[in-house]
Amino acid sequence: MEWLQSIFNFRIVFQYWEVFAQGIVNTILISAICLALSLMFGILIALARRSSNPLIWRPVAVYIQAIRSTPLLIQIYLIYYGLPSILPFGNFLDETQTGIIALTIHTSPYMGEIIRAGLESVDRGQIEGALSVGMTPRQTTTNVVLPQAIANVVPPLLGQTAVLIKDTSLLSIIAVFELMGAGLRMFSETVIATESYVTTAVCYLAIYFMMLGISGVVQRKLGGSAWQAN
Amino acid sequence: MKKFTKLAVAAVSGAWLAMMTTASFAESTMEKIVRTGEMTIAVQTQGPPVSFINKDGKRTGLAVELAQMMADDMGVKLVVQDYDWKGLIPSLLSGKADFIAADMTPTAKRSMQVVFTEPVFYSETIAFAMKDSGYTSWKDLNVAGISVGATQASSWADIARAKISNAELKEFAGGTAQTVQALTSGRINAGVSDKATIAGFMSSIEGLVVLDGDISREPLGFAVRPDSTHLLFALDNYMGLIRADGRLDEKLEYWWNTTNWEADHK
Repeated sequence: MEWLQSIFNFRIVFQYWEVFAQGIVNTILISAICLALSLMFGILIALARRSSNPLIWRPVAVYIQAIRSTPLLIQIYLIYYGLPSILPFGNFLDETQTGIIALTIHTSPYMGEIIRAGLESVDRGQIEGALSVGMTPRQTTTNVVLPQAIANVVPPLLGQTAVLIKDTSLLSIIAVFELMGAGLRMFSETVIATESYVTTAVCYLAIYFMMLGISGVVQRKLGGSAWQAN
Repeated sequence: MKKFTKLAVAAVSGAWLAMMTTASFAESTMEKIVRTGEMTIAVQTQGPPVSFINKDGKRTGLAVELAQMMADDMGVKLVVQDYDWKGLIPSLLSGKADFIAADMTPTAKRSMQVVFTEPVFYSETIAFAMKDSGYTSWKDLNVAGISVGATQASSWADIARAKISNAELKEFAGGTAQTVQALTSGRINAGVSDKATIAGFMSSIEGLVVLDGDISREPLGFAVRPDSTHLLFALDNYMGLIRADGRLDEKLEYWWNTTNWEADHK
């Protein structure tokens, strides 16, 4: 084990386990809340984008393009520093809450576009079939179209979620402590770059694998064996 | 026979390669500077007065000028590479720079990886707030309910954590500019930084005041690789030399203790 210790110093990494644990908890918490919110808003955005009413789909399209064409860093800045100057109660929200709002605003359009692709992939026959057995259009959407649409796009959603998890590291510019902050803290104190950054990367990897497991369960639940057979 | 020739060629080239690598490993940092006539320093992208880009687009500042003065006296060319704080020590340890010319605090943990010179200058850690905040001393901040900002993972954050422990500490990635911005937009009640850095902001931001009292005083030094003994002694020796002939004080007076540099560079 001696040789391993000289390549990668576990002793020093272990001194920082509490800092990393706190970072992991914060990163998972922020990502999970953002994921839930952005999936919810993503579905709304996808449905609105597919609407035939120009008063609905045009503003949504503008929002999607505006968010996709500007850097997340600037969006975070604008929301954190801009909000208190526009609204008198802007300071009411703390850093983490502001960060969650910013990330949700940023991620929802991406989720929306992925879900829209999923909605379009659902066979017309499914909709016609649902309507012909007497389901209302709303029932058709929530019970037939959406579950299949989301099951179809689980892989790209997973990719976008991985991006979301890594994007949380940008929240450190507005003083949110997360996993990257833990790595930087260790690096600043000990100045050993390899251990600080590799440990951080391994933690992100662990979170990703955890998410992979969860998404597998979700996919099986939504798709079932019929989806697998496709 | 053919096999034997191949083996011999491999052995000879292997030995030659080994000799080359030991030769380059044996060369000290100072010998490399002498051989190439170039001294490469790593400075931090941070802002005045230690290292920054001035109004003419030139990189300058206290650390840069001290290194330039030394390179001039040595008769070698100075190559300045600027890195984010995170990149400074990796650039030194990987051999991309000969030494780090930045305002680094020589903590015990950091000294386990690099070697610091004798302190070149000292910084006073202070707290700053807006004029109408009602705080007079940094000690007023040590109360629950007050939020204090500092650069993420900096020695200022450590000091705030230790000495203003009752207040809530918010660590902003980036630099003091982010902390100042958080203060002016009302996100924090006060910030922690060093006196010289804040002096640079006072002229451009109205209503910014330094609160009474130094929270702590820190030595700042340059850093070399652990095996660069010759260069380490040369740096210490040179700082002793310019301390004695008054040139160090002159630079400190211009860049660090006053804001005289603003007239020429801002």
